[in-house]
Amino acid sequence: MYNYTDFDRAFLKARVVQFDDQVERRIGGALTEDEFRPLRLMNGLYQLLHAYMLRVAIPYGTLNSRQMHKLADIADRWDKGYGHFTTRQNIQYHWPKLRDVPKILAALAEVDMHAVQTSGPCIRAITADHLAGAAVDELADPRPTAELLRQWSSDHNEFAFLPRKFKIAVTGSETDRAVIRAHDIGIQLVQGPEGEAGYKILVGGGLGRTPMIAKVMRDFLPRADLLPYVEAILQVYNQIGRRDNKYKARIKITVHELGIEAFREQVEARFILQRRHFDGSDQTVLARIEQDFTAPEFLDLPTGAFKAARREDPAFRLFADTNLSAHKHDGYAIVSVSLKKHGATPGDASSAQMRALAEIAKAYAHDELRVSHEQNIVLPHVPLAYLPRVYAALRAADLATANIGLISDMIACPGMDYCDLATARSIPLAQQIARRFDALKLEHEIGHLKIKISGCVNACGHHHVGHIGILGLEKSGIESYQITLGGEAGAEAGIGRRVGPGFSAEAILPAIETLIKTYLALRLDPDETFHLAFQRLGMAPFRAALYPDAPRTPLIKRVPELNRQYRDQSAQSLLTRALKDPQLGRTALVSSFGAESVVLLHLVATIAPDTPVLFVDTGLLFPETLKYQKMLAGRFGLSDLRILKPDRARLFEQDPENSLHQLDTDTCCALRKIGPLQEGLKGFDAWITGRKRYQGGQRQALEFFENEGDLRIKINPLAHWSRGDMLAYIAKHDLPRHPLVQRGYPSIGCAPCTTAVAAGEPARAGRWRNLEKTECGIHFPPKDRKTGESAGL
Amino acid sequence: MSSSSKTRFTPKILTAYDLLLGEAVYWSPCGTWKKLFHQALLLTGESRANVLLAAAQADAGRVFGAYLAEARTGADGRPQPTHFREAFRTRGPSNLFHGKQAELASEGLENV
Amino acid sequence: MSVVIDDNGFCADHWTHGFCRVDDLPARESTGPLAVDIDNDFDVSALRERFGGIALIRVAFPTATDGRGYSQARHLRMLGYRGRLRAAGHLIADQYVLARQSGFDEVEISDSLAARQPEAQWRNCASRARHSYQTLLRT
Repeated sequence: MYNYTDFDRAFLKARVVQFDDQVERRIGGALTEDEFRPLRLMNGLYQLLHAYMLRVAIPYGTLNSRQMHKLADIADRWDKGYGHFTTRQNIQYHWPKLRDVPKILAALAEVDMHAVQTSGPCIRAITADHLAGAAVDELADPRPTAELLRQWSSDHNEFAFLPRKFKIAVTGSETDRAVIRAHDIGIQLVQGPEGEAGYKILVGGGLGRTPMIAKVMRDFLPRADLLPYVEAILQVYNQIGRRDNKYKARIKITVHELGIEAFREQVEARFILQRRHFDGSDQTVLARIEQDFTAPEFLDLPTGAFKAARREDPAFRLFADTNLSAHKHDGYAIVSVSLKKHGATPGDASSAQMRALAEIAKAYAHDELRVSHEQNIVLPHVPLAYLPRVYAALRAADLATANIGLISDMIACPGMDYCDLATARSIPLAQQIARRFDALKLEHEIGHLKIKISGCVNACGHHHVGHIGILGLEKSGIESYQITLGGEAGAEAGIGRRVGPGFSAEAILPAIETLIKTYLALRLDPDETFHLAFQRLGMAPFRAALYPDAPRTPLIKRVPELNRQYRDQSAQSLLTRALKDPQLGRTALVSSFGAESVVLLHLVATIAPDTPVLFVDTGLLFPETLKYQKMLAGRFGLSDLRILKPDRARLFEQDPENSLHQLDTDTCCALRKIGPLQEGLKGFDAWITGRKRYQGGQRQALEFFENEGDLRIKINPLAHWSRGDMLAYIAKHDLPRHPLVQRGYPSIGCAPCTTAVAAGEPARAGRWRNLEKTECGIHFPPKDRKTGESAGL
Repeated sequence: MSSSSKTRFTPKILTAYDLLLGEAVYWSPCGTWKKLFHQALLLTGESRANVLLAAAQADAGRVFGAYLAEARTGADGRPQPTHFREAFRTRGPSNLFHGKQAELASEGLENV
Repeated sequence: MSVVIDDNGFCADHWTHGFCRVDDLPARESTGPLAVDIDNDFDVSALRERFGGIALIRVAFPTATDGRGYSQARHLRMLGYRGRLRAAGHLIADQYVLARQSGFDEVEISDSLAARQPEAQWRNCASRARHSYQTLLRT
């Protein structure tokens, strides 16, 4: 890591003296608060709800054991024995006193640390990929570039009073762990067409009130042009950035309002001027910096102990499987240390824990530590051989929670428990979510999921780019939490979308549980992460689950969406999910217990035997059907079988002698089958049928989902099954067929209107033989019965 | 200076941050800054409130960040916060027993 | 009235020929040296052709937290302006060095501001050796 020169140390020394003087002049009254505020902000001193807050820079998240020890000492001596690691790779102390701050800065300077420009309308600490120098997918280490930018931006005379704060992030790989697309300037190390070193430059990203993804300024900028180009961007921004409205003052608004083309034009013109003032000294400095970032002397140690521990210790195995990432050097691993113990404050570490981390890094990990923007600590270079010892030491310090990347590994800003700007608390919610899912023992089952919580619209908790984002606001005098879904922080960065109205502090945890339940019910398999499932399914099922009483989208719109979501699924997969899909509401299976019914009945029985099954006893069925129905229901354990019968009064009135079918089959079907079924379906939002395309006629274009007007959805899981599929399934599960099948009845309805079928005839030829009628009409909405028109088949 | 046409001035207290300690303080009837919300002077008149606010903002030596916060009279006749943010400010964070809640507990004092 | 500050502290205003607003700049090159007042959001490249005839440009600093003036100065220097540059308005002693390093030669503040920030503070801030990374990295 970077070794301070005499110049660097002299800079810090002078800075501490300067701030000490400024504090005294403030206390003495020579400086008003308005004059002092920007000065203290430029030295990282904030004011929070309960006390001052000092934000110490950890440039590009990198520190060594000596520095970590000093952070622990400061916590004990001048604060309350702990520190808070932030989404900017910094550490915050939440309880310093004004007069102690210059002493803290002096202590930091002893180990080459500082709080320069961690606040205020200036260029802030440069952040970078927390796995720099260790990740497998890295093109080059971004930290020398970050260090060059840190020096260039430190106390920059021209940019001390920008319209607003300015954040720059650097990554050395395509996988963007530094979230460069959400920064004012994002920089990615890339190779030019001839393999020359250079940068991709992005500008205008940011979260906050108006989240935006950064736009490309240059796909390739030669390495030597970095500083003049960045100076050009800053100078143009300083001159034209809005200062009339705090919420429109970031560069993302400038770029948005001007347009990227016009903005780029101005910058490119200024860049030409700027370049004349850079004579290459910066590149000499960069070359020297690079020498400090060569890889450590990796050790070649046997991995036997590691493998044995994995085999023998389940807790160690879980830790290794969850908290390790691949290292570019064989025999090494990157260890992520979670600061998200279930129920703890995300990102907080006690002074004892900081010391433990320092000692572990020194003894086992090449004396290097990182702070990730996800508020965890990383040991980037750990030989596998030392892992059992590292694990033991972490456990002793209560730092061995195996939850990296899981639901409890949340990002949460301090929120209204500390922050002056907050509109709601975030820490208690994070604690509750973590405890709940730990208690349910579902974390590993759920898999990779990033929940990010912000206590106000400033989005310091990065909620916009969380898979589940939670924004804490206020509504009618109480805390109200809004959920966003679909955010993503990496190379495929995207801003989450609001699901609907906010939830109270009591209702937000159940809402999160509902989201997880919906995900688990609808995912294709455990490899489909929450985020992937959301991308496939879209907002609809989650919104339906969270707001069951909200007015629904008209079915005619919902059905094509459902067909898209369930496309290519098997009948089993579809049924398993559809029965739990909040978009479908209450679902029943309608079965005639006819020739082929056993397949669907068996499927539903194996998946959810408590599904309501509706059976219409028309009064004219074959006795064999009634017997078969009783037998199957018992054998399959269908616990909610509902036998529907025609209305007795109407029957007496319209067909007292059971002879109506001879005169008017349509009216008979309506009386004995359709009527009772419509009655029975009241209260259901969807029903399952066994219809298949191969049955021909109007069924040939059958889809999985159809709408019955705007009344109900019909689900046809077997739509794509062939005759052969049916027979194979029956054979495989040794299912009993309706006794009439082997007597030549491939399709079975009511006795008077069903005849046997000869070889070569279509299966349904025996239904209403010699009549034009081919369907009883239950698959038509009632109003179309008279016209006999097919509707939506 | 004069109140805007329709909105009635609702009762407030004057609060700020102690310059050296950074903790919340409240302007009391005896003309000093006190630590407890219920020790604050309840302000029912807009012009007086604005005068005191201006004075506090000019008083660079002891406090900074002065503002008027909504308040009401509690059952015991003493000022109470009406908004949950001000209620939090009288206690401290909810995740750790730090801030006023701890300070005052150790002094045997009670906040709102 | 106002006070002018340079590296030696408070001094008398050496410029006695008055200032004109940039919109009132005489159309042709005049006989005497000119001093121009510009706002901190003025597009300085518009003055490029007139650099030869301008001896002093005074850039307004409406508040101490509005940093546009520093870029105005730097931009003017990058465009090749060699005359004097003065930062005028609300600056505090701690900003003197920022102004100088951006290309200003001097600062002008009001008497009342000078009363609250007496000369000793300005000299103190100016004299404290300033470690500038920027001078290491560029010209």
